[in-house]
Order: sequence, then C-alpha cells, then structure tokens
Amino acid sequence: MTITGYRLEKLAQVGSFSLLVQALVSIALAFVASGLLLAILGFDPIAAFDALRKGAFGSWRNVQGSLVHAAPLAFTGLAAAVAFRARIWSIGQEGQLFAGAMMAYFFTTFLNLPAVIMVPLVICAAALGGGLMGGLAGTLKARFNVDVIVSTVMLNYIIVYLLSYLLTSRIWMAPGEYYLQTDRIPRTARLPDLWPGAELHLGVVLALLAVLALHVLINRTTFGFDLRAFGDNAVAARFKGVEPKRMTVTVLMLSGALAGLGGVVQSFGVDFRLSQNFLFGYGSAGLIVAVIAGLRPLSVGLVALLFGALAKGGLFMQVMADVSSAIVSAMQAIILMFFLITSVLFQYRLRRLDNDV
Amino acid sequence: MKTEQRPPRLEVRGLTKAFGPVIANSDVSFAVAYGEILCLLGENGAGKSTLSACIYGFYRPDDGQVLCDGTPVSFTSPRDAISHGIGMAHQHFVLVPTMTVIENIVLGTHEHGWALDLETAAQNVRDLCRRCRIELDLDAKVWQLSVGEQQWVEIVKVLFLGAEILILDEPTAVLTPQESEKLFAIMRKMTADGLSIILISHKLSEVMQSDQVVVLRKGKVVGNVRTADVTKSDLTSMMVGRPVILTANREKIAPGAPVLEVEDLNVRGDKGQNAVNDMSFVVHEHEILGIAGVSGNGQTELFEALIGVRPCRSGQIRLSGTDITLQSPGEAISAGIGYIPDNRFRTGLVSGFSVAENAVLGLQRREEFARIGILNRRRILDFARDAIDRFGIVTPGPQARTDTLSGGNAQKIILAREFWSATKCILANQPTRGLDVGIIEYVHQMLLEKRREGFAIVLASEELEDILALSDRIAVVFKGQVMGIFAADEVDLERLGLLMAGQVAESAA
Repeated sequence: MTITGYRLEKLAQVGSFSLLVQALVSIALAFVASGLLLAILGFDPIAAFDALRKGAFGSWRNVQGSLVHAAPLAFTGLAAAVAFRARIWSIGQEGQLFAGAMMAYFFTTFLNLPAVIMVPLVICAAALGGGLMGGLAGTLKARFNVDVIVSTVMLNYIIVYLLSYLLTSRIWMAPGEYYLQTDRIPRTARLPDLWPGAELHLGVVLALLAVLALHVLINRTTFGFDLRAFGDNAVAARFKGVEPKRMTVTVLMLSGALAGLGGVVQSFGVDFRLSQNFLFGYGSAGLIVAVIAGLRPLSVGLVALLFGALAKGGLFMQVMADVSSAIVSAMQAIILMFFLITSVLFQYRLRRLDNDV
Repeated sequence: MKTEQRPPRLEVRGLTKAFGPVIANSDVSFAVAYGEILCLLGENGAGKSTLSACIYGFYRPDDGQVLCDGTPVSFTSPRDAISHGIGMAHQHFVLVPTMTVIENIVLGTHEHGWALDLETAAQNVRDLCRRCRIELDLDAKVWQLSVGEQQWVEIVKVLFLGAEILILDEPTAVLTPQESEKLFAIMRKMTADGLSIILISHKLSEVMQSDQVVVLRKGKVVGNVRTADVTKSDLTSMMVGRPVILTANREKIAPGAPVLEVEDLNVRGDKGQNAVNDMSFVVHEHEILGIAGVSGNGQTELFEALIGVRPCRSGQIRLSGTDITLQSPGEAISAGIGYIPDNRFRTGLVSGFSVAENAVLGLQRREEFARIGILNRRRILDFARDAIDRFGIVTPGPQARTDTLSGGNAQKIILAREFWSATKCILANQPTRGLDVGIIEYVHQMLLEKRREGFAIVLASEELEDILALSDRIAVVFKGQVMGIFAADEVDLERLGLLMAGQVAESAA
C-alpha cells in the first residue's frame, strides 16, 4: 500500500520499546475516549479525572490503597499470563480465585492456631485450592482431551455455585446473618499489616514476590524454557523431550495456584470474610492485565498497578465527582480495546520512499 | 499483419516486484512461444515463485508488463489470469483431502452455475485425461491417492479450467523417477498440441528436457539460453555464480561394530495405517545407510519411532546392544541419537525462540547449560556464538529470532545442535530438502565427516544422486517395507527407481 511518497511496511519483529510506547498510547487514547464518555453523560471530565488522580495517588495512604487493589490483579494476571505463554487458553482464574479463598477459609473453620502457623497455612491452602482446580482442568485435557476453555468456564460456575450453596445452606453462614456472607475471619488467620496502621498488608509483598518469581521462572529456568518452547511449537518441544500432557497439567496447576493466592490475598488481606460476590471480576480483569502486559510477568506487575490505581481512584471519583465507579470497568475495557487496535498498527512502520525507487 | 511470424504466446517485459526493501524480481524479461517448454531455474530466493505468482495473477508487478499473444494484459486475480489461459499447478497442493478427485477438479469452476452437474463435468475431465493419457480414478477420495497421483489431479484441474499456458512449480518433487519421466512424456504431448509450459525447477536433469532456460539469480535474469546450447555444469555455474563440485568424496572406511539395530519394526501412521511394516536393518560404525524412497513411504514414521516420538507396535530397536524400543524422546537424546527432521520449522525448531535457545533445544538441562534448574545464559550464548562461527550461520547474532533466518541457516542451527549432542548415531530425514546447492554441498560434507568420526548414520532422501553418492549401503522403502538392501556400488539409478515404485527386485536377496 502506498500513500504518495510513503509506504507501509510490516515489521519482522516488534521491539520492547515500541511495546511500551504502544501501551502508553493506548492508555492515553483510552483516557480521551472515556473523557468523551463522561462528557456525554454530563460530567466534567477534567474534574472527574482529577478526582481519579487524587484518589489513586493523592496521598501516601491512597498510594497504599492502589497497591492493595493491585495485588489480587497481579495474581490473576500472572495466572493468565503463565497459561497463555504455554498457549493453554485457561479462563478459569475467577473460579480458581474463589477456590483458593474457599480452601483457605475451610481451614479456619476448624483450626485456630497462632498467626505464625495460621498465616502460612492459609496461604498454602489457597495455592492448593486454586492449584487443584487448575489441575482438574489440566487432567480433563490430558486424559479426555476436554477443551480447556470449556472446562475452565464450567468449573468457574461450579465453584461459584458451591460457595453459594455453602452460604445459603448456612453451613458457612452464622445463624441470624442476613447477608450472604461468612463470619469474619479470625484475626490470627488474616494477612498482617506491614506496620501498625498500614494499608499495606502481607499480600502486597506476596504479589511483588510472585511477579519477580514468575519472571525468573519463565525466563531463566529450564522449566520456563520448556514452557515457552511448548507454547510456541508444541510439536518441536515434544520431539525434544517436553511431554505435552504433563506440561499441560503442570502449567494449569501453577496458573491455578497463582489465581488461588489472589483469592486469599483479597479475602484474608482486605475483606476478612467470604461473600457471594466480593471476588467477582478479578478473573476477567486479570485476563485483560495479562494481555496488555504482553504475557510478561514484570509487565503484568506494572499493568496490575495501573488497574489497581484506577480501581482505587474510581472509588474516590465516585464520592468526589459523583461519577459511578462502573466507569472504571469501562475504562479498563477501553484500554484493552485501544491496546488491541494499536497492536496491529504497531506491527507496521511508515517509510519514506527514496526518489530512485 | 505484415509478418507471418506469430507473436510469442506469453511475454514478460521488464517485470519488477519488491516486498518492502526486498527486491524479488528486477527487470525480468523473457518470452515463451507456442508449444514450448520454458524452464525457470534458480536457487531458493532467486525469485522464481514470485515471478510465476506475478504471471498467474496472484501478485501485481510493481513495474513491467505481461503480454499474451502480443497484447498487454493486467490481472487482478488468478481467476483473471485463467480467463487468458494462464494456469498454475501448485507445488504444495491445494486439494480438499476428504473430497473426490472429480469434486476437487470441479471445485472453483463457475461454469456449472448453481446446479452441480458432476456427470457432464466427469465426462469432460475423462476426455481430457484420455487426450493427455493421464490415468486417474475420478471417484477416489484425494486422501487415498499417493502424492504422485495428487500431482496429476493438480495438473488436470488447471487444464480443466482451460489453461493453455501451464505453470508447473517443482512438479517432480514428489514423483519417482519413472513418474517424472511419464510427466515429461505428457508435457511433450501437450506442447505438441500447442500448449506452452513454464516449468519451475532446480533439478538439472529435468531442466535439460526443456526448450529454453531462463536462469534467475537474486531476482535478475543472469542467463536466457536455448537448452540445446548448454551443459548442466554451465547452468549450475550460472545459477550459483561460481563453479560447484557436487561429487562427494567418500573415502573407503571399513565399517565397525553394529550401532543401530532395527528388528521387525511395525509402526502405525497418523491415519492408523501400517506405516512401517516389518522393517529390519543394521547400521554400523563408520557407515551411512541410505533410505531411498518417495517421501510418504514410512520414512518419517520410522525416524519418529527411532527417536521415541511415535510408539512401536512391535519389534525391537537396539542402540549399541541396549534395547531402546520404549524410550521417550528425551531418553533418545541422552542415549546419543541425533535427529535432523524433514520439516525443520515444524519439528526441529521453535520459531519464536532466539538462535541461541534453538541451538540448545532439548539440551537445556545438560550441566553445560543449566544448574539446579537455572539456565546459564552466558554458556548458552557462548555455545551459540561458537555454532554460528563454525557452521557459518548468517544471522544478526545469537539473540535474533529464528524465524528471521533463511531455511539453510535454520538447518545449520539444527546441524550444530544435533552434531554436538549425538554421540553414536545420526538420523537425517531429507536433510537437504529445499536447500541451495552451496548448502547441500556443506551438509553432505558434514555427514561424511561424522561418518569418518565413527557415527552410524541413517540418511533418507528423495534425491537418488545424493543417496548414491553418500551411502555405503542403500535400503529401498516402499509402502513401509524394505524392498531390499544393497551395497551402493551394486545398484544404479534405474534399478533404485523401479524398486521405489514397488517393483520387486528379482535379485534382491
């Protein structure tokens, strides 16, 4: 295709700097678009975005709040990224998040030990719960060739309705409780604050560690090498000793464990109870985070921060500018849309034609 | 008209086509007369395929003209080209395997309107086949046909569309020597009827059967000669740009102890068929066993069973006396078997990986490259740099993505990796397929070098000249069976060709 004097060329390889520019461009475009949306709805976009900014970064306390909001998104983002890197299309992060929180809660219903034991225990339980859910989808794929997309979606429903059953049947609900929610989690099992009076809790540290650990795991270890080879060319990987079934199960267990940790971080670090719908949306947001981050763990951390800040700022915006915080969900989707659009555009470059051609 | 002379059937004048900065064709001109076979000769990337795609309307040239009977034409699609009588038979078949031959042939013709009149169409196709003496079962499903037969379908399809200028892209790549001969006989018959043929090939023996040869190098015409006036070596020099010696110098070495022993091996193919049928053979140290056969006769399944990717139904595989029949691919690598696959980008390389990562693919857990599960990236890069130097891999560096490399350079990564990791045995399945003459020469020398070092080598190739030049012994396979194993100096090309087509050798014992 030629425009006078210029030609559009497809690039063989998109550089990482170009990806960063692309992410920034799509975020900027998303702000413009959602600003328009706000204006159409009759709000002052400038005031609304100012409230958003203050809510997210206005004070040290708000910054902490943004980080706290980012933590579960980092986990579901990593969960999606690790599965997608292996070209396994798991969208079971939401169910695994619930499963993690539920498994952790299950231990608190009959154990009451000092925090030194309880906190590591609930963290491990959450990883186990999510990991088992992922492993189940993996086993279904490996043994019966059940499509992972289908099985993970179905398992999402099953686990959410299981919680629903446990609550409505009052197995996990105190007598006399009106809302569909459990009792408050005992103090010894909660993820502790980093210092007295802090917003930041242990879960944020866990999220940071997970981001770094996944970065090392994927890029620097033999397992990560196998995983990337399997994702890029499963046939060649099999010829070189990567057993596809084992890899599928392992990756889905790992992905599930990460999502499960997201569940414990949110419910044991912030909510302090399980309820019917407190954890909704983290799974799908995690998918968006992973895709925008290009499935790279360190970038997942950064994008989760952005989305955490949007969520935190959105709450503030709701109060200050009277804009529904639902606009934040819209903004997340708009960012994704612009990212997908620009990712096509950024594969090309415009080149000035030399006179002699 | 003043002159009696007819204008050429097809003429190309100053054709230029570029993809971004890459010039695929630059100022190409030639002409094909009625009833003539013109051969486009050139190495990979010389621009043959782009040129033909411009002629049959798949690409639009950036500059230059295509003329039919002296009149300039401009095509926007292959359908447009066929209405001017220009048709292309593809190298990679575009047939629907689950449909019958006649359905495939009629597919894409629009003359039948809404109602599909297969009867009339079948009659027309049958007449066409009779005229050209092509034998074809029109009601067979395409997947049931041999690859050679599929090639006929592809050609008949184009003829049925009304092609009078036929472009054939490497038509003999999948044919036995006898089938190729038949194809050329039919081509002669067609040109006698006035058809013109543009043949794309790099096999010199075929090129010599054409009337005119246009040699392309780096997108430019470097020679346009009457075939009768030149020799094979003239053409090779034109094509490569320097004289090439392809006669491998195989020194006499006495074979040593048996290394790879295969006994009564049976392996199923992807469709459940008996792809490898009671195969038995032994390969010794310092020995190259050539597997001669048209591809699709069990070679790939045999190799996959030998490296543990495909389960064996029965039989035994031994490596230096150890039973390795039930091994996994990882175990095969550790046992010292190197494998050079026929489809390098599908089974040999991870295209999104860097050159360095592919250079250690499957070896990443060796202590040279990793400790306690952590990759030693410096060692991997050093290894890759060394491989790039020793094998002359053309790449921006060890960190470059592998899919930016040419086929020949990609193959060199595989060679570097497999030659490094193999300690006893090398399995090479079509190692030179699709490579340029210069690199083929190199691969042959590497295999002979490994033979000297004492490796047992199994080499499958469709190029009988290669098999004859490199092998100590030759096993001919047909439909998964070994038709006979011969010392290389006992057989000639013709005999091998007959065996490859399934004719039992009277003296094979």
